[in-house]
Amino acid sequence: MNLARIYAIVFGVVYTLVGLIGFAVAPGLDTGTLIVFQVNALHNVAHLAVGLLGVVAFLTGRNIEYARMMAVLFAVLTVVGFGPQPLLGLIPIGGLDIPLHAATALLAGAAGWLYWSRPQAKPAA
Amino acid sequence: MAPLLHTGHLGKFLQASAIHAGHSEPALVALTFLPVAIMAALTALEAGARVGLTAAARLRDAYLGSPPASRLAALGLAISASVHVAIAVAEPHGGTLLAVLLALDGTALLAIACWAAVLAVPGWRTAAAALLSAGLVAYAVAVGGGLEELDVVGVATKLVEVATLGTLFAAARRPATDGGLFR
Repeated sequence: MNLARIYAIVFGVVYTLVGLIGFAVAPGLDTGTLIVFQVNALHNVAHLAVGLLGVVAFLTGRNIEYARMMAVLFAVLTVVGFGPQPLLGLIPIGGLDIPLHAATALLAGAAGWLYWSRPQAKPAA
Repeated sequence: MAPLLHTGHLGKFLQASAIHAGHSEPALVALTFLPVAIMAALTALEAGARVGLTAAARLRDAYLGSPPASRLAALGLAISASVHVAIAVAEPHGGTLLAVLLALDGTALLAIACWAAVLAVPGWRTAAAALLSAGLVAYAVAVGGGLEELDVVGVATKLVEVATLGTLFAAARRPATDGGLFR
């Protein structure tokens, strides 16, 4: 089972949708509430970017690179989430974002480094 | 501050929904974490299979052998199950009896979703169709009888259930052919 490929399309689609819906509830730099998550336009752009990157990675076969990038990025975001919010006075990433970011990072790490399918080598002719 | 994007009627609708999300909030949170849970389950399955657990290897092989339509149906069932269980846990207005019924329904839907995705045993379509149909009828009766108000999450969940019913027929008609999306 190619977990990196599954990860790229699942999280790619989910983050893209979250980014798009986020603009409906928080189209500007003022913070809005998406379900229970604090978002603003910059946060939505970030969601949209990582989501679209996931879809592109799935379509171009760069799944492992995407999963590894997500693992590092979201691990950093998880740690930063414990700091003063909003981050740099711009993006709110505390509260319930922390467990979501942590889970995203852990699963990305598993998909990117531990469990992925190596491409089958073609037998010599 | 002026919005960076003008989202028009959709924006107003979603903003109203977000304010309205009150008693649907647990369902929406559960849906947010559903992809994480699915990915975690698949990772655990793969990990178990790689360390030599026979049961995990068997379930993984069954998952890999399942047709894409069955996986899609399983996803629809899992979405419905998440919403039902989350609302049950959040103690709905109908009281304990409704909470118990929702929890049972959600648990059964989740079990059938697992059955569809990782067990190569026939019969799940009949069970899923029966449970989904019963849920749709119950919701229609509850709304029609004034016991429940129409809300965005409820209607969206029922639309997913109707679509899942459609996939059940597709899953029945189309046998496994290729690897599909989530291989």
